[in-house]
Amino acid sequence: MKTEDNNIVELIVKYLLGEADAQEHLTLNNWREEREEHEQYFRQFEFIWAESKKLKHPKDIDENEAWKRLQSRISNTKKDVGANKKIIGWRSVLKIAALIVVLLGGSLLIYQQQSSRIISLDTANQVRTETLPDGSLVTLNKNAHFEYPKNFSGDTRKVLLVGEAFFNISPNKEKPFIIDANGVQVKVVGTSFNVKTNAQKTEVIVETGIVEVSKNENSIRLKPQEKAIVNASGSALKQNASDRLYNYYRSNEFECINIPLWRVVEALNEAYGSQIVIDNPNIKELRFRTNLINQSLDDNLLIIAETLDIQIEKNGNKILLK
Amino acid sequence: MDLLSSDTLLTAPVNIETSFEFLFKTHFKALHGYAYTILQESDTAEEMVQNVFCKLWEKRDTTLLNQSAKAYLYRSVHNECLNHLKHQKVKSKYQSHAARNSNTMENAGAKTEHKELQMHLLNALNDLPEQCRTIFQMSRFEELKYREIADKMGLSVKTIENQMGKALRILRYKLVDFLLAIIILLLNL
Repeated sequence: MKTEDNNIVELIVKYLLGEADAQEHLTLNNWREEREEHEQYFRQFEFIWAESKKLKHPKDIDENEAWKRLQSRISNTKKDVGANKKIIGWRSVLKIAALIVVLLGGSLLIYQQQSSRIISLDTANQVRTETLPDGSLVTLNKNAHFEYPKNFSGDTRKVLLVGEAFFNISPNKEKPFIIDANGVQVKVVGTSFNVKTNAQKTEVIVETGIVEVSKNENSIRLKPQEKAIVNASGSALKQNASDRLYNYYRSNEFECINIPLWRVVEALNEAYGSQIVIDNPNIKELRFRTNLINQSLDDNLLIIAETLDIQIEKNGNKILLK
Repeated sequence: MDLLSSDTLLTAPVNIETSFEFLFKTHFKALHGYAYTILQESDTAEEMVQNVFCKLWEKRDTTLLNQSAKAYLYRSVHNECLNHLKHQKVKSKYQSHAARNSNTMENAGAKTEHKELQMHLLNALNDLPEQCRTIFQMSRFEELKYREIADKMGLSVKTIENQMGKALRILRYKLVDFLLAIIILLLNL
């Protein structure tokens, strides 16, 4: 009876909220007609539901006005604190005490700054692998900027990335590793994954473990072989990472086998900053039978032309495939 | 599948001040609505929301605002309001008791009964466990669908269904004596 009771309450609530489907409507109606007590029981819920609505605030308050009120309150509190300091300032004993506090605070600050000194790395034309203080490995692609503290103090490991990098994070459940990538937070406890940022978007591809990607209050969880793309406006897309082309700068190889031409072109354009365009719709889906090495673009174009039997034309900055 | 609602995030916050303002403006209406349904007093409700944000502002260097911001804010507002009520109760225990008593004596019949039901309903709602109460809030007052609530809270639809069932069951249980009386009274009017 107890579980049946629970089920019927959930059904009633669903009905009241307009979440019940046709089948559920039918079940509920039959139940209500079964007995007078059932109908009464239903009416009680209906009544509570209707009554509770009356507790609602009659109208919305403008959040911009409310924000101004909050701002003035916050700035007032700041002033109050300042005034208090003045009042106690003339008492000489307190003066000394205050001085001690300042000295202690100052030295603590210096100590903290020392231990949390930020190291920043910039790569230009070379890929670089670095070991972080916690043993994690980070491989920076060309033209990346990366910042990390000399010591990971506090209860998180926070770093900053602009550009592209592959992370292999040493596990520590107590101290999550958090990457700030263009305003997008990537949070992990111990896993490996690729992060790429540019002005338009941040892209995360997971190799092992679970990664949490969030911007402001919203977040997505990624499992291995899943990929998230968060664009500048904050909207996010989750999809399966269908290939491992992102891995070229670590393995020095574009893993192209069985990948369609259009996708390889996409990856090459991102890697070389080139403008390769497929000028013939019939060759778009041609699949590769070989991998490409991370060498000069011209060499790779030659291989593509040979293996797929297509024509390559240069037209200013554009490279046309026909 | 659009997981982050892009329309509310058109401008990406650049620093802590702007993200704080953004956070406030995004959630103020809903949080004020929440505080109001607990306190039934608009200005005090705003004060409670302000309290929560003031505390957040003071702790801004240590608090990492991440995915749980919404749940966190709701929980804070809920606690702030209940604390306020607790203080009020102690303060006004002696002052207003007499006044309220005489008030009730003056009005008679269904209307008083109805007012009293509202008060009991309010109390019963405020007694609900925090998560249960927050979910009820989103469903009843923000009129969100189960699916939307589940997404915002990071819970499954089934959990929301259970929690809503639980909320209504508790409310009915606490009000059942009143309900029997009042429904009869209203029918006779």
